[in-house]
Amino acid sequence: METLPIGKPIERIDARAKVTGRAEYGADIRLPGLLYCKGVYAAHPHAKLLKVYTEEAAKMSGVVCVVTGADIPGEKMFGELYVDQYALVCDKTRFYGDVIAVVAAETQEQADAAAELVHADYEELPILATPKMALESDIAINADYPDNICGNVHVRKGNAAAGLQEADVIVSGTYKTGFVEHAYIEPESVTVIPDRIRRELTVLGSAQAPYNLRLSVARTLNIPVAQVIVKPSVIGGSFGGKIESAESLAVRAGLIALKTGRPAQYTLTREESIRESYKRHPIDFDIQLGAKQDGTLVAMKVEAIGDAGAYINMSPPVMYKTATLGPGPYRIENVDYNATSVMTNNVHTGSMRGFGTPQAIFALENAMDELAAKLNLTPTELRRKNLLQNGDVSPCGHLLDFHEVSIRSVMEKAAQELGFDEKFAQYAQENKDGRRIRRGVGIAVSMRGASIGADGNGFDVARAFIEVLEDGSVNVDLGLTELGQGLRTCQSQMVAEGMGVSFERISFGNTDTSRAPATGACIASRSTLLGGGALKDASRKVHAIMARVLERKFNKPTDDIVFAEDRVRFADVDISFTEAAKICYALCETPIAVGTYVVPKLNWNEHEGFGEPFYTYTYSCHAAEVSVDLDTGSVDVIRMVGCHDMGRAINPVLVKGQIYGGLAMAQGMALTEDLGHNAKTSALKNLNFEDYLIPTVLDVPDENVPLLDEHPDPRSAFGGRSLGEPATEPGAGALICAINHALGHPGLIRELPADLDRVFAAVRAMEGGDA
Amino acid sequence: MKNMLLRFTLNGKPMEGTTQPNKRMLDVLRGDLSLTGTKEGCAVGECGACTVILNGEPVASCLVAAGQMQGAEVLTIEGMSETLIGSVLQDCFVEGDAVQCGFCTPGFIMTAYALLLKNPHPTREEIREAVAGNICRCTGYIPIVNAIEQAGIRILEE
Amino acid sequence: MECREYSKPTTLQEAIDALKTAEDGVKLLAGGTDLLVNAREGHPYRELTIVDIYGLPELCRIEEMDGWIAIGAGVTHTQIEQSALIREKAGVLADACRTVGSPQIRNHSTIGGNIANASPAADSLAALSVLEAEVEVNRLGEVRRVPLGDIIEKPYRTTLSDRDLITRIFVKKADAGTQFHFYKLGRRKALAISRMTIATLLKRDGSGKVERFHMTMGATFPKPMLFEDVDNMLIGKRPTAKDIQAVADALSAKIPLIAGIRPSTAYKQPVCKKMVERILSELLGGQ
Repeated sequence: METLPIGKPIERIDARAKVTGRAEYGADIRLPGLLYCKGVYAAHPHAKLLKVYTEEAAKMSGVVCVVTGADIPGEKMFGELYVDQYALVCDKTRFYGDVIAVVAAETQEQADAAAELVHADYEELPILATPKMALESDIAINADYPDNICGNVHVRKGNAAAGLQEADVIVSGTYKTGFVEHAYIEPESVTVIPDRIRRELTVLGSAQAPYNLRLSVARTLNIPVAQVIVKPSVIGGSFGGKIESAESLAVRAGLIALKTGRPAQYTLTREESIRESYKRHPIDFDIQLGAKQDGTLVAMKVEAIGDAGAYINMSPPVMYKTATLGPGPYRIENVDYNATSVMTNNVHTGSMRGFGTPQAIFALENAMDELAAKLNLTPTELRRKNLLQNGDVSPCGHLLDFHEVSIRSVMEKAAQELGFDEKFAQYAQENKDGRRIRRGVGIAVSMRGASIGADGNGFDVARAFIEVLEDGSVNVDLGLTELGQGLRTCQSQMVAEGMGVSFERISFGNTDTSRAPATGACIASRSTLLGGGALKDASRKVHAIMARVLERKFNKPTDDIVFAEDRVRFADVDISFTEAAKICYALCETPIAVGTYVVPKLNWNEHEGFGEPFYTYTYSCHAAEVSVDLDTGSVDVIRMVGCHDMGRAINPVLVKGQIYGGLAMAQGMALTEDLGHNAKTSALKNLNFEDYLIPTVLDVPDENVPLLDEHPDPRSAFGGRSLGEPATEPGAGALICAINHALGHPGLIRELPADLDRVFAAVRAMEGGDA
Repeated sequence: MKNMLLRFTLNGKPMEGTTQPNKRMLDVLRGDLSLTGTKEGCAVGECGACTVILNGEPVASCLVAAGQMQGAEVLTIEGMSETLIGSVLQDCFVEGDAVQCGFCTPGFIMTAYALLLKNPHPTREEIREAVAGNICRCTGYIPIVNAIEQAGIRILEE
Repeated sequence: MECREYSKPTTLQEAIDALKTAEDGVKLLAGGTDLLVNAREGHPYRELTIVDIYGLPELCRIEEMDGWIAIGAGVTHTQIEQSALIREKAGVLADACRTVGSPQIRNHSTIGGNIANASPAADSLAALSVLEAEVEVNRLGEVRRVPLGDIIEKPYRTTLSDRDLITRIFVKKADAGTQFHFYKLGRRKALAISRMTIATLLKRDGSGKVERFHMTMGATFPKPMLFEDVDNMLIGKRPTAKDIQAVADALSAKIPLIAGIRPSTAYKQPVCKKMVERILSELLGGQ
């Protein structure tokens, strides 16, 4: 008999279907009468769209229809938070990935061929290819934002300017990151099926945020929300990337489905996916850090400018997380962190694992190493002096007295596993002999606020539906999507514990908006925390219903009722859960409930940029060891360690899996991933994987280690917080710190990716140009 | 464009069908044969999601012309559970948490199958070299290498 | 891969006949790892007849003859990588083929295709150069054999007509004791396009005097090149550190000279210099 399932490394529910090839992803769907779609992209990244010519394409063999913006019957725009995105351009193009028309045909080949015949008349407008250009221009990309600034969050604590004056030592400088692509191996694919009787659409495919998707489709296509049913297929990775990108496809394919009465499938090629889907924000940081001679941090002042691209998307919340989490897990009295997002004609930017923090931590942690060097302290010594502890106030003003502030312990664990302190000294010494292949170590820490934070005050909610059936099996419907992270398994474990039954009883439904009540998206590292909360609430309610029934049946009080280990015990009654379920149905009672969990309202003063920005935090540390070849600029990663306190690991194996993956993703961002953005034309050069370089198995060290440092969180229903984003956020910072250490020069590399050319150029500059 | 009558074996069974020889093998599998276990990730041979075994060797089916399936022995993920090596690999992938989103998984299993057929007891380095053409974005690779290593050990014990 | 016609000969003679009779333009298909990628944009083969020569038995042999190894144009990169004969007597080519793309690509791409595609970054070319490679071409029945450098004109352009079929590649068999080295600089460790490759062949006599020496770079020049003047700098010598330095200077100086001064020169020239020094020092036993 299975004891409590939480903390057990239970096997993933969906793994077997995946290893046999039976799992159905978006592009695997086959239906009679299926139409295939192909989009036509903007020929110019910023131009008035005067006229689109679709007649030639419409006449091509196999073509059933060609749609443009004019065909959208409802609202022309959609968007999660800001309704400014066009699935089909109406007035003007705003970036190269905008779509001006979509062809639907009997086969993909026919759609592709016809799409080539669509063309348009444009009136070109100036291209604003960088935030600087956008700020200096009087052209507005979105008329509602005349200065092209679409988001600003300004955290302020104490007086940073004064603090810097009083500092004994200051470091100041800039750090930059570029566009990063999610690069899930499955390109986006959406299939929309029209109902035969009424105006209703069923949407399948790679949709990370089904409830948002149904709203977008309902609004643009004039359908009642209840008549847009979203049932995500098995999703081949998302990392934040299949939210609005899936919505664009759903609106286009939905339009075609309504027009033709036939199901429509829209799958992107890799080049199309990279061209049109939103990216991680490039952010430029201007950072000043000040400390006392003894290493105590006294002030931090950061100006961060993010490139929002053509649509607002998630830029304001990304700036929120950049400003509130960018200061790191440090005790610091004076903070001024100003994060601004600027619209440009670049590919728009939005949710990507970390949501601002991988960029911010890269900047901060490298600046910290610069500071450490000036203070004659090692990186760990400087951090030890300043890491938050129980009862401290966070850089935003949050009193941390509600859970174990474990960042110090997390860092020590990571540092010890890597051998950081010894290697820091040893390599610094070794490298003095002028060798051309030098080793270095780096360490980076972070604290991540769970879920949306105060930015979502009032709407950070999750709902779950639990139904006990006649045979004692338990059906669960939760609208948070399985993206491959193991959500179904993890949530099932929480339900089993919450309901007091064995894991095997749980039947976790496929995500289906018509079955599970609206819940926020599976984003922001919120699912474990919020999903768990909703499931616990639902369990409690179901138990209450069952208790009432059993009290009636046995005529005994149920004040002390306990549901555990598949049994129900109260007074002198001890029956199986199955029997209890049967009794409910025999007495015509209904052991079904909807649970709701709302993140408590946070005390955040938006105007002052001070208070409690998040409900709780996950503490993380990544440590890295690298070897740098000074003669070629080549960086070899020798080993990375990722240590995290996510409260309680609901499933330790799945958690470690996230960390392994997070380390590799950080490595790509730090060292090799580059979209080849042209700062004049806004075009992206690297549109497929031969040029956009994700780490291969030979690049990722076989010796990477994931570590857990668990301290169950009293603020979480089952003690666990989410890990999806923390798993990657400090990695890039750690790697660059390590490279800079190898080169004996903290802050030498200041821009990502640290690829061959960048590292080589930095070495040359350091060696005076004449190696 | 004349169609071609193709004869080949697929997962051990003889197949015969007419199709356009200039199609991609990937499209013959996913389209003509409705075998959607083999995936399309990039279409330029850079991700390995479309890996199948052609005459004993893993190849990127997005880069093989259908005409080259003539007379060939083809193995896909759909046939793996019927083989000893394939089914052990599947078990080890599941047990070793080598599967997250699963989209790269069929490709990895095919490559690993070919490896274990030739080299039943590979070292970790040999495994890593063998799957160097399979990209994963979720797992960070180590659990996958573990699973393949484990499969090698387990098969020898059978 | 859009094309007008597709023909699949089963013998070399059938292939030649197909090339003779095709009225439209033709394109030879070997493994397809280049062509199927090219076909995705711009319909380059739409009007052409594809003649699929992959697997033709006459093109798939590896044989020793006189002082050469004859490698069929249809031999795959994997087969070259794994050939005991090539590893022993022309090892630098096996090493080069080992770095092509990925196992999946190597399993289904050929040495003939690599040459015919003439990518400036093709991994095999520098190795073929130091092996003094010659290419056998069959044009509608007439056979000729020419140095590799006469086949590749510039990036993606050969001197071959569309009726020319590469049948074999000849590489000079190396004597026992010959040292080989192949270096590939890529942006990552697999599935990487070469940023630069350096191929080296070095043979010294019993007393340490250099008898044969070839060293050149790939992914650097418009076509595969050998430099007699540079190679001669070591012939007859027992090279010292100064000699190594001189070769490094001379070889890296070829980059701006031949490829012109481009944005990549600031990177490639110093990297080449350092790597040549490193490789030669290693081969010559840490002088």
